[in-house]
Amino acid sequence: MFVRRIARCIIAVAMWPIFHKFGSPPWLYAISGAILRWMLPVTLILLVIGAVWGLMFSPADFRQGNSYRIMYIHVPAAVVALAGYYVMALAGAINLIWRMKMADVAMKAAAPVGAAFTFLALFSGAVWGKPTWGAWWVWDARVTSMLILLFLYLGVVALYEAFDNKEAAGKACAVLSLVGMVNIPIIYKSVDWWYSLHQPASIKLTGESTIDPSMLYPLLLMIAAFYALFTCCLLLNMRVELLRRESRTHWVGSLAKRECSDVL
Amino acid sequence: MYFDSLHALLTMDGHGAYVWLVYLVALAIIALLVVAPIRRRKQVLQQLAAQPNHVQPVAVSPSAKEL
Repeated sequence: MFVRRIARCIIAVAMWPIFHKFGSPPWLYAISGAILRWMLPVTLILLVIGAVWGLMFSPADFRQGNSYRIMYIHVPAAVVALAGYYVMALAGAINLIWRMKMADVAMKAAAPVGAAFTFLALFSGAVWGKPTWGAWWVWDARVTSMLILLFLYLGVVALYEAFDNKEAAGKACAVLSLVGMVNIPIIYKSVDWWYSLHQPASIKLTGESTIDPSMLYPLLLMIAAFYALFTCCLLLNMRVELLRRESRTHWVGSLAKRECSDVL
Repeated sequence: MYFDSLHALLTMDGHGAYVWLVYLVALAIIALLVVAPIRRRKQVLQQLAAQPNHVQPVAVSPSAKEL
């Protein structure tokens, strides 16, 4: 008990400067702008390289032919849809525990981006399923749990809009996203726990991957590019939300004057 | 390049329609994800600049003060 209290104090002291900076909207707005200036172009270039590599240069699959090229969209979208949920739930938890406003901004910004990636994973999976499984849609464990993930993301978006009091909205959404965390291990393990049409993972962190390097490298590139894309979209959405919430402050007022002086 | 011709790249031995559909939809979603917040940011700033009376200068932003 005593040890735990000391540990909590140490964490609080160590995290304070970081929290303090991230809690400052003008600082967050400025640093995200500086990051996006180089990160967004690099991300778009990586996406183009990965797509061209996957579409034109990697060889066809010996069993699935060329339809497997959908993998270069499908797998990165699904991986980042799950990673994005961690980001959203973690931000929600930070908002609940430490009442950190910027975490609430991050959670609200992550939800629509995660929903878009989940939709892309489901859509590409459906199109891939037609030539491979013979059906657009199968009520398979993996597919169904991903559909639930989409509903969780959309639920957070809708719940946020349903409240007039944005503080209450943030708390309710944080609770919803934390409860929804239970779905994440189900998605991961669905191909092992249930008899599934969906194939198990081909890339393994430990042990031999069952995918040829000629297909693995473009796939890894696309996964990295999708992670970067998620980060960019998260920051872009956070910046809009920051301006909305801080619209009455001096720094936003002068920013609006500076940026729109040539327009008006 | 893996394919012999542009035609082979487009048809992909019968799988072309599926593959290209997914890539086009992915392109549309990515474009929307990137362009929409950039345009919204501009709109918010323009609205604020157009109504200078509604901007009440506060020395320190409230949420920064709280922390």
